Amino acid sequence: MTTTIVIGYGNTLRRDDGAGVAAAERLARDFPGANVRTAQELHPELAEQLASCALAVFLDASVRTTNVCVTRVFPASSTHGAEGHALSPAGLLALCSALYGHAPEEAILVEIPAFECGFGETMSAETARMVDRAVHIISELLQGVTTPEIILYLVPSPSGN
Amino acid sequence: MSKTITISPVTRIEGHAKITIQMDDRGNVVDARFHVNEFRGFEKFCEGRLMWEMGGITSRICGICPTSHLITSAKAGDDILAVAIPETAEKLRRLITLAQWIQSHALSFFHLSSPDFLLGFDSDPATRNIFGLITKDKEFARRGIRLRKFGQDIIEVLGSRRIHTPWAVAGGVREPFDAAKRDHLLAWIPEAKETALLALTTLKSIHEQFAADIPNFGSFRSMFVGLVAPDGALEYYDGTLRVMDGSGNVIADKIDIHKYDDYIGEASESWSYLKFPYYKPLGYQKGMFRVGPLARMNICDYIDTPLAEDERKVFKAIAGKAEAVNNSFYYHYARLIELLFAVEKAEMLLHDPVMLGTNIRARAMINRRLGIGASEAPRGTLFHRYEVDENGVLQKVNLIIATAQNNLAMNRTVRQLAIQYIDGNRITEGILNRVEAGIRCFDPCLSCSTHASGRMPLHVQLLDCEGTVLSELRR
Repeated sequence: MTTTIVIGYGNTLRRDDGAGVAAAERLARDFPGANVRTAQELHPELAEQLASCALAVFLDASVRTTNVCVTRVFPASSTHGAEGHALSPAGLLALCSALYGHAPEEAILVEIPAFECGFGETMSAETARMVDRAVHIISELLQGVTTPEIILYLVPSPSGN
Repeated sequence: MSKTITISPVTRIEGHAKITIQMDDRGNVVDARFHVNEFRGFEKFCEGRLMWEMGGITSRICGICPTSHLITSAKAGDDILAVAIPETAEKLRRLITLAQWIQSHALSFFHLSSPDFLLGFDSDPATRNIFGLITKDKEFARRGIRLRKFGQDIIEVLGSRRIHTPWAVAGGVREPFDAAKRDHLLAWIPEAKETALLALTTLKSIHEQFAADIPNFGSFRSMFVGLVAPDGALEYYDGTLRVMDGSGNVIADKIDIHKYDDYIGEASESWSYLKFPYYKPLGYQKGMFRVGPLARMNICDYIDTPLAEDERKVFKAIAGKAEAVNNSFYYHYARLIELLFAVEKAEMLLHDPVMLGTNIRARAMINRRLGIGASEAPRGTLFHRYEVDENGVLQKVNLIIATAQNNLAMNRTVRQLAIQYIDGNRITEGILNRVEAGIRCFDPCLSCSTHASGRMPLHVQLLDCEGTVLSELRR
């Protein structure tokens, strides 16, 4: 298991909420052989694809940060929220682990700040710039120039740690 | 002192709702209501948009059944253009409609309802979900997820996206099919068929286990409404409307969908954003009808795929002397027969050489000011009605959603379950879950039906006769 999966998700009709999808689409275009997926939300069927990967990168828009932030994601320990149709990254990892006996050894969540989430398909200028930054970070990861550990060291988490 | 119990939010459904149960001063249930408190207003904000955009806009109503909205919208567009679409386009649209049934029915059974069936209504709610199901039977859960993936794969292969694909348009579809895509999808068929049969076997095996509960799950006479093919076969994409009463008598048949307004009225209540459609000739309340798998299985004369037809005959035997199956619990059974049918029918279509044709779109200008489209969404008959000006700009939009059409019946089901299980002031998790499970029989999609925003978990309240909350439970 040496593969990396990149999953960008969000609602592209709610302006900046589609930042994760926009970043993933850019990465898919720049790295045609890479395993890049886009989704409106994280759904259980993604678990099968995660199970065969060593590294998972989740790209999502976030209103809790004003800069691109990266955090390590671990499988959820409780099943809270498992009643619905959509999952959190931690919930998806837990589902993957429960179904297939293993999940990616490493997973990170890249949060791209969202400033305008009204109706529309164009992102705000600020978020567009943040998408560029997120794409740059993950591009280096896909090229093997950097590692998740280095990213986690260099890029702040939402709490500033 | 009389009381009201509120269950809010209702869980393992698409969208958010609450249930209130009103009790009298002796602790007897006097009324129960299923409230939908989301509002979205799609019909209103579509006004002023171009007719051509409606597939893209209305498919965003829902993340579960966007394809049903896309196809129905495209059909309303065909009507405005006044075109007969190419045969290849129709068959491709049929395939994606079946895919929608497969992914939605698999989700309903494996993800949302199986935890009740395999773990029990009284099991710990913390584990009565997909994770609990995995612990109980990992292979069963995996198969369910893969079956849903098959439905999504069809949608992705045809429309280039799993959800919200803009592939179907007024006049046909945007992209043709090819042999490589066909072969990719055909490779899924044996596994998909096996899983659909496994689901049926599993469900039938629990019917006996839940024999004491089943009679309380919305068992009452109502009418059943849906589309049937010209020869009376189970239909999912086209056809005419048929109305059957609870005794199995066809009381209206071969109704052109353009006349739906003569038969289906919409009432409103102050306590819910979900409308209350009814059968107009009988008036509000008396005109309660059900749509979706149970209705379709009741009203059709036969199914044109062999395995599903064999199963339909077994299903019909449930009715006994009456010719309609009136118990809402059997929505699950009907849904799985449809799941099997959808896999079988998809296989037939995939073997059809017409699917590989390249004439996929009829082009025309705005030729009519009114367009109506209808198809069978997973939860029942879906109508889109558009009025446009000479440029195709929408002047008025009406969407009649399957879940709303079941609203009167869902309320009756909640009332029946509350009367049966609630005694005195105490409400247990097991009772709460049975009331919720009654709603889940219908597999409601509240985001669609209310055109609502946000999400809704389960909230049950116990109120006294003055409306004071005496007790409540949230999940």
